Amino acid sequence: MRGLLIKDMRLLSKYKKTYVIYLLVIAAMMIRLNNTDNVAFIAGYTIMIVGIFVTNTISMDYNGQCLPYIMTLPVTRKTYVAEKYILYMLSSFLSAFAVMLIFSLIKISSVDKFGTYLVEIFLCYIIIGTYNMIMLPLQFKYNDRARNILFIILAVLIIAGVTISNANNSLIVERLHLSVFKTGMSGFAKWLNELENQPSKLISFFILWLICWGISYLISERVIQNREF
Amino acid sequence: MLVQLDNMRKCYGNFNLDCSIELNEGRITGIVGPNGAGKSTIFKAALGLIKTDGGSAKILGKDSRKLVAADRSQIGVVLAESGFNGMLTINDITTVMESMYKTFDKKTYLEKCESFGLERNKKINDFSTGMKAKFKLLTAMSYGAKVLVLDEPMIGLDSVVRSELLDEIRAFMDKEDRAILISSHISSDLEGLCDDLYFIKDGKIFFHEDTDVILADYAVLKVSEEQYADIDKTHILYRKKEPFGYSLLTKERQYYADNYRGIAVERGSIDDVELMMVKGEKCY
Repeated sequence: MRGLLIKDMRLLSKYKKTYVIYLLVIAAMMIRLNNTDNVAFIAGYTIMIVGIFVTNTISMDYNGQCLPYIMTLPVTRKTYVAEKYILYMLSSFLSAFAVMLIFSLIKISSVDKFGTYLVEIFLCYIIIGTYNMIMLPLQFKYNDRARNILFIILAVLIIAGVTISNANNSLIVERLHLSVFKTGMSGFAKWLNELENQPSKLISFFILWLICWGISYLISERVIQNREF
Repeated sequence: MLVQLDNMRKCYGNFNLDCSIELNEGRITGIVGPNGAGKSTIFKAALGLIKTDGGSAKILGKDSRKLVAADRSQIGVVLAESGFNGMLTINDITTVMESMYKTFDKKTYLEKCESFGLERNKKINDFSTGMKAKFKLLTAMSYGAKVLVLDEPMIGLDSVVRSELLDEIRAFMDKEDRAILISSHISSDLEGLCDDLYFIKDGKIFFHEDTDVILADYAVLKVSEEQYADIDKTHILYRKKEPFGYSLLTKERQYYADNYRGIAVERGSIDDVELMMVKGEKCY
């Protein structure tokens, strides 16, 4: 596991120029958004970029024809999958923490908003984490096609969501019994909005989210176990 | 037995691999065959990289699909078309190897890299074909593996680099409990290296023999039509029609050399034997 982590960290360290560009963009955004308190956007952007870097290490293994060789090293297939998940968890957590720290330092006068920042960054972490928990098994299975597949799935879900929301009492909603989903969606949205003020619900949601990560890991592990190199 | 494939079968569409191979301690066993014959599939099965469709594939006495990290640390591997990511340098890989293998000999590894002219800070992608081959082999031999599995380690190399690598492989066999399974489609590479050879074609092993026996006893006889009509065909294994008459493969070189003074008896090289068996017509 340690060896794989070192390998990926060393690989990621080869893209210093990309990180510099990223830092410049972040800095520009921070200056631009200084008065708007839009911490969610910057946190989301940062965690998203980190997620892309991590999933790219899988692409690098696949596209560089490295995977057959990696599987001959003293690591099991299970370890290989676990390493990618740990790498994502660690790097996304650290990036979220870094955003939190930077915002706290910049906005040190707004101590009262600290809790708001924390919840916003936490929700960003959860939402982008959810995207990546779906992305990782797809990446293991389909490599570069994974992003396209996920975008198609998301596009279909968004269009379906918008259609259901707009099609109040329409024939389609009635015939397909979609009102159940509509009620469910609006209920979920309401529940999500209330999370900020209800720590117990927030913790329950986080635990559920971790269980989903466990399922994602098991799917990825199965994909790699069945894969031939 | 360090590697054992017993009636191992693997199907890819119309291609069917069915073979049995053994590699014992202290031996270097070669697999010879044309491109697409199934050599790489054999290696992948031995290393547990693919599922087999029948039979068994064992390495270090274990089912190759059930190897744990400790088993894998006793296996050194060179794969023809796979390796560490080319963005990494030898310095990066040294750190990775140190954390993966308890027995990694960093000092010797770096010394060897230096003696082979491999720059430590240069990306693997920027190495020449020969340098990449040297790097792969040195890495596979850097942690005292018990068995080396080398799939086409000398592909695309000039004779000087090939000779250097062959010397390294021979030096690896200093310890008696080690063994090497190696493949090449250039059979002459394996002639002075291997103890025994498996010849494979279209997924089937069609010949297995000790290298010494091939080189000492096998011969290709060059005969005219008239000589062919008169010659004792009891020991002729394969024949191939030639413009001058026939080429004949025999395992009784001395017999024909003693009794047929008028015919050309050429000592069988691995290439000759392979060519006769692949292109020739079976006579027995």
